[in-house]
Amino acid sequence: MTVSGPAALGLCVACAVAPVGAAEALRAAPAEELHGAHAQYLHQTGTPHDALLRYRGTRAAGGLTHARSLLAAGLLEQAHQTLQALDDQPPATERTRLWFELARAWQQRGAPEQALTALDRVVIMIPDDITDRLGGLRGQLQLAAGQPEEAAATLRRWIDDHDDDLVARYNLGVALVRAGRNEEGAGELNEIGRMDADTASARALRDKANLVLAFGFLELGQGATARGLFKRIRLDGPFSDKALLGLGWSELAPDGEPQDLLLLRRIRCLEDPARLLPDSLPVLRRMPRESCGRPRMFRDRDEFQWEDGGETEEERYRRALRPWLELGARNADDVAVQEALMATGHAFQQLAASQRAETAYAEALDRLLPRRQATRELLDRLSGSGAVAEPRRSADTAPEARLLQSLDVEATALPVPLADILARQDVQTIITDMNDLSMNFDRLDRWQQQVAELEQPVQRAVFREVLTSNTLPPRLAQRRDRLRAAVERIQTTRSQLTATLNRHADFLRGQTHRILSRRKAFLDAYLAQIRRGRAALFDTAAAGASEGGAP
Amino acid sequence: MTSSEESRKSAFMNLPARPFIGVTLALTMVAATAAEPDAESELRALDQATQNLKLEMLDLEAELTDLEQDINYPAPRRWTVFFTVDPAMTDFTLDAVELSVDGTVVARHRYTDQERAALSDQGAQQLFIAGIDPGPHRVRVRFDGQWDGQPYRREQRFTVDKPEGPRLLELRLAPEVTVDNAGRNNGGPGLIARSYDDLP
Repeated sequence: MTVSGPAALGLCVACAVAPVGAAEALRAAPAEELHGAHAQYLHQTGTPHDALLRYRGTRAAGGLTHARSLLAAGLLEQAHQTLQALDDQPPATERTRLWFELARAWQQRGAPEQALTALDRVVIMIPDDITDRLGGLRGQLQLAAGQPEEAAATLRRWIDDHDDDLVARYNLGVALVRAGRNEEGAGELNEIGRMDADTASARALRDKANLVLAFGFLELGQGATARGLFKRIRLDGPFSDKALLGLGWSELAPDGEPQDLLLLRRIRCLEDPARLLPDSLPVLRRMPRESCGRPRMFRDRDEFQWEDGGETEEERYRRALRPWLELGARNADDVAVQEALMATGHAFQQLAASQRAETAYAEALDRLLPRRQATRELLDRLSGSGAVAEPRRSADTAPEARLLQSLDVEATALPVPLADILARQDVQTIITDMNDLSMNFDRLDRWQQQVAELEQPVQRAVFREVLTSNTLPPRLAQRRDRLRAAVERIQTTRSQLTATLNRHADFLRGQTHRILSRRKAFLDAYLAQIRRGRAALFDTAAAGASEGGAP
Repeated sequence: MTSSEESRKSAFMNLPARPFIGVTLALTMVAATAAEPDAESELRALDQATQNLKLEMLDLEAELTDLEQDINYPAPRRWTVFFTVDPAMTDFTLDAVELSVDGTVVARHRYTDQERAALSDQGAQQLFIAGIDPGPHRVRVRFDGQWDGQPYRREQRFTVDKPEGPRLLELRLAPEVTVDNAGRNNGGPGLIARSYDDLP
């Protein structure tokens, strides 16, 4: 019988009406398998929590899918233990992928040492998409774990074959400098700082590399080198505020001496034999690059570009004012803008432009004083506020909303950009945990309701038994006791949940307090400088007046 | 020292004692800023507390699920129906299933792509759970979908003998072996029903 097209519909319904009969085949104990397969189904269609619940007591418990559910539920230690127990079992590719994902999860939680331990297991049957990220991630983790030498070695090897991994090249530069190999590090960062960038993230990375180099040289009093580097940074990028501030300071810094950089590259051929062959020869007939001998190191020593400073002190201050005036027109929530407001008045004062200095100082006070006041108020509030009774269960779990909720402030009352706080990895980890945990309130509510519904038939049964036989069957008594225990456990867990969430909120408040305290210290210093500058202006004016007014 | 050099030096010396934001910038890697050492231990403690709480929630829910099962579907009467798909069932796209027990429709389900994928990956869907009396029960299953791109609907009936104690019924969708007069296998998708003892 061939079944095809719409006609099949009628045919099949007709044949199904015929009795099929009892198709039962009794088999012993595949129940565990079915429950395990059910857990696997839930893993793919429900939440990791649902799946984890079903793995208990099944053959799938301790398997790879179980490990994946543990990982998805954020139970990283349990996922690690489960994977460890599976280390000699196939399929190796899937296991390797899970180790890699576990490493990423540890990294996101700010635990580079644990991440490296997990990454050490990514050794066999590595899928291509992981191979393409492995070395870069290992180097980044080693750097975060305070192992710059190891990170530099890892990233150097990685970059030999992945020259297009810009983040890895940037991190190599950082690792080399942290390891004390400044010229090499500067060479790598300089390469990133000069590259052609066709994406927003690549342009931001290029700016960052230049900014790091520029501030590094400025710190060393190498103004002539720093100037050129600051000028490479875009005026409309994420680092332009800091770049403008730094450029101003670099105009005032001593020029210093020419600064060396060193670029190391492993090259496979000093001369590619294919290039020696005539162009007319088909490509396939040319000699492969690998045949030209062992890879060699290529060392390119160079100097950073030198940017002369102003010849006179006056000229230097005039040059410094250009970026600072531009910066002063921007949003003064940024600490770079705040510093520029202070520095502008100072520069005018040094140029003996008293009137303009006074105007600049007055504007700086107008803009900085309210911010210091707002910072003070929020600091007082954060110091005084205790734990709330039960954290609000906001449906809006966006990081911004969660942070503001924990601080109990409106976004407009925050005197620092939210992004400055949210950029911190510890803050991100805590907010993720808070979102995970706060979903459990709904779960506890549901369970409480469920227990209340279960209590009714049990109470009725207890009542009936007591009435009829005056005794309680052990099974019924056990059910009643388990329900009572469940009610207590739900209450205890709710209290623990509230307390833990409050600790998380305290942590966010503490970190915000630290950030605000630092900001306030900056503001205090800027304002003190402005006051000193104004006092000096008044003194000068008073001295001038008394001299002019003297007979 | 030339006068030019002197003037440069004096310019630098005249700078105000300033907070310098560049210090925090130098040598930052491409990653979010990490916690300070004093905050780090608190972060670790919080992480541990979070993990413990998640485990406690899991444990509590397991206890409640077990309790609910014990009260609503006591072991002697418990009967669970799972739906699975044979790996050989590649040319059939399942759309919906309807389950009737003793003439009453007890479960209906329409599948999403995600659920179909989970079944194809050897997952098992719990279609129904109830407490039923021991003895024979009439089970009717209707399912429909697309077979080789054509609409396909089928109804199958089984008689299940439920003994005392928890039992499982697996309804497995598999290619049916049907040989026509020419000796060709023309079997379409069909259900195989299998009963097992459930875990206590």
